[in-house]
Amino acid sequence: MGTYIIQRVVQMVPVMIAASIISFSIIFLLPGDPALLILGDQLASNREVYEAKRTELGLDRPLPIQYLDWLGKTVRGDLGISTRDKQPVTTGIAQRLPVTLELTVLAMLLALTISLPAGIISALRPNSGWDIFASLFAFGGVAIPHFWLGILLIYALAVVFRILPPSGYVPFAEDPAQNLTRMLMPAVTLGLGLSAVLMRQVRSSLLEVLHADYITTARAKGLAPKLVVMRHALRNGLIPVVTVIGLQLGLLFGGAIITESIFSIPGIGRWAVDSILQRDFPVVQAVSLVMAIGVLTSNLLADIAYAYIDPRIHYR
Amino acid sequence: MNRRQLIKALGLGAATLASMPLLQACGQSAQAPAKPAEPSKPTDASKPATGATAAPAKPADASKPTDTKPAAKAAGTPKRGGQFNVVVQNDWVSFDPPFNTAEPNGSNMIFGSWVNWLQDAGGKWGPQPDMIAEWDQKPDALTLKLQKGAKFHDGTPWDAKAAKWNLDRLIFHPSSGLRANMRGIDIAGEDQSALDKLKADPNGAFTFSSKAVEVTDDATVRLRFSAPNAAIISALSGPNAAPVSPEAYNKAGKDAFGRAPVGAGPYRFVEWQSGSHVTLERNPDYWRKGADGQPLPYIDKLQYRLIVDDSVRLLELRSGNAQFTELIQGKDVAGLKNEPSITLVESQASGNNYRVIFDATNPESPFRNLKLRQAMLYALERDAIAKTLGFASGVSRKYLLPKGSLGYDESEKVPFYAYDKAKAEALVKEAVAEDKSLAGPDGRVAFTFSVIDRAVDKAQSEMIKQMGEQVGFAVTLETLERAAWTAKLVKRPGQPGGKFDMASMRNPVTADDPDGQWRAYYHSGGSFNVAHVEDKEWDKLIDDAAATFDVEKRKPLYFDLEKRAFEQAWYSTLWQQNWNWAFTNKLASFVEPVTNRWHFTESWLS
Repeated sequence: MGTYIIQRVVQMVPVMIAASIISFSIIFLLPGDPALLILGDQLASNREVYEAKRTELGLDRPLPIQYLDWLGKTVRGDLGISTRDKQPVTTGIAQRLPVTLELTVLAMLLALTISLPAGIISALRPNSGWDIFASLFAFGGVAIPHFWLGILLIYALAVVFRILPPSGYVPFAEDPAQNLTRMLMPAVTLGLGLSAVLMRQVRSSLLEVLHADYITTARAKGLAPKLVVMRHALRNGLIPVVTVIGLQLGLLFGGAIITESIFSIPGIGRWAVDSILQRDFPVVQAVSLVMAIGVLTSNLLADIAYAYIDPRIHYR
Repeated sequence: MNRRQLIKALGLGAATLASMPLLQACGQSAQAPAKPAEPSKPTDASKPATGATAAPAKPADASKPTDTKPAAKAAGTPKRGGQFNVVVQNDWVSFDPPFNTAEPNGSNMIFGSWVNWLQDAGGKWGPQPDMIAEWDQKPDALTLKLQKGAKFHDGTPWDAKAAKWNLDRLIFHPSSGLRANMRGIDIAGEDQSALDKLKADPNGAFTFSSKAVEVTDDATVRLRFSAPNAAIISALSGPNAAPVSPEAYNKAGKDAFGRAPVGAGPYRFVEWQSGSHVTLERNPDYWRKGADGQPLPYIDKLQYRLIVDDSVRLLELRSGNAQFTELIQGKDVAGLKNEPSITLVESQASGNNYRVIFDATNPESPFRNLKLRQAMLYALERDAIAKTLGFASGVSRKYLLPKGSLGYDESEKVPFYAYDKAKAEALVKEAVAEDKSLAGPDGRVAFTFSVIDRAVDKAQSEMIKQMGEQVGFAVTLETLERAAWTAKLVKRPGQPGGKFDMASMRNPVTADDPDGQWRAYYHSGGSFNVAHVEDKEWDKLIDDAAATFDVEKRKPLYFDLEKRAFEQAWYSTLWQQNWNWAFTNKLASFVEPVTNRWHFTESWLS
């Protein structure tokens, strides 16, 4: 296993280099000029001031030189300074990444809490009333856009019933109860769609496994139905689910952008969007890279998880 | 309950939950329609605002609040204490006034102003003393007498030395956004090598000391002018001119100071978490006194939270989690007016102005032809656009200047573009008859209309496209993200861009000194001159008007500028979304500001 992990990490290096080139250059493909946005129209038309700003930002150098300079600093942990609010990008990431991670982890936990039992029951009782209800829930969960669900929840739970605060964020270290209270609606908003996807995945995967020969053998041996499902069927049935979870983590980051905007959560997703709009290129480059690392890491973790779920899988 | 009943009950519950926003929306639209915005109360244009004259202002009475428009809510006895939560739309960039390019929400609470541009009891807008107690303006000099008893939050005294340092920074710092507004100052005798040193390290301590700004005594400074500038007081009233603590700035440097500002305003800076919130606490040593004889302000703590989504900001207000918000969309105004627990204040003097622009330098644009520009402007039905997009808070506009400004023609004798479809059609035909190359094979004049990718701008562009196509144009809409739109319109040295046919833009308009608007749009060095009007005659007329101190002589100069703008038709104002502010009834004594710089200096929580 250790060798496999090292191999995978080494394989990640070229992917990371490719991701770093894309992360670095993508902002320059967009129309717009960071110097213009920082200076404003009037100062930008002054050649001296405009060129001084471009030099200060390092934009007057050839792109490959800028990239190598950025890469060198990034490797040393210096991600630059935000051109917009003058805060070191590493500070911004340190403040915002835990917020987004908390949101995605809570959303994932919620999704698993809903989808696993619901999917198992649906698979065990296909075409039953429960299965139909769960399917409707799944279709609804996938169809409802995050922004609509978020506003609906705020209206119902914060304005009408007044049982939850409408938006905002309190760090967990500062007040755990307030933190969880405020993160509940965002986690539901983000996790509901995922729970629907996972529920359908658990159902179909488990249904397939339940019809496999080794399950019939287990039943023929007289094993208790609960044991058949939990020990033999579910373990194998979860393998494709783990793959989907790995892939969905990347999508969760994407969904977090909208959820963070609705609930006014100072996470990395909303920061990325604002920075793209403002051509705050040090932030965009750093956040893109961090997200790429996040997705690669989650895929690696999903691969490692296979080995624990399915003893037939051996990594060398 | 059997399974079928359970499914039905769940379905009904889900449907009820899902329809809540719809019911809410229907409830709003079913309510009595809101009264249309009352027409602005024009200020008496024949009597200029104080700053427009050379007369010194009266000193402020520190024991009484500035004589401003009465509060929106009934006053009563002020109470001290409490925390006030505000939700705002725009993120912060920097708290250092001359380097801030974003909405400075909260900044005006941290910093005092040189002067405040406010409405007096008679309804006239004009400068009122703040950190300057008196001023004496002459064509060749401006003498400022400082407010006594004020000091910065770090204990640095507000004296002539601090005032000079601040004026020098506004005038000479290479990145100061106020440089253009501080024109006319006699800078001929300055030490060029010291200025060059400043350019080499703009982020460091500011140590330059000019000859143009003189300290005459501990509480008086004088600015020398080589050319008169009647609008200088207006420039000093803006939030980007506010004085900061020299000690704190020089200790921190430019960028770090922008994240930890030190001013002399009613609130001290506590915390700014980017993308989240800003917290301020009461300055116990603020120089102005409240009704109880103790220092203002009354409220202990202000927290500004960033919520970009308009709907969520309103939900925050309705839930009571926030007590104040701004920039209410027109569609929500009618609903809010009928909510007893919320007060909505709508500005009658200022707001966001929508306008169209033609490029004066693009040789390929059909709008190099005056008749086509005029045709397009006659084709625009401004009332329809204002009502459709601004709902109850949209007002159609005729002139560059808003009502209440010095130079606004109350009699409306100055010509303006009123909707006239027949005239527009005739002008297009005339232009094409004179120059057939203007039209395509279908006889229509084709052009591209560049707009920013914002909901209202896009809806407006669709309306304008239809209106244009009805009179003989073929309009291609080009929707651009804001950064791309800016790069397309603004000319940058050595870079592509700065070339378009027609575009729309949205800018704030206030009833402060008229020079600001004219200079921004029509002067060759104007900050919003995206039409690229580079005409020495325009520059001269604008400079002459700004250098005229006699208000009665100055007013007709602005009428002439409006006539000239009508004749040349490079820009046209369309309509204005008046600024508005909504708050729970917990807030007492809110005063409408002339700019969008709302404040809580004299407010309290009831």
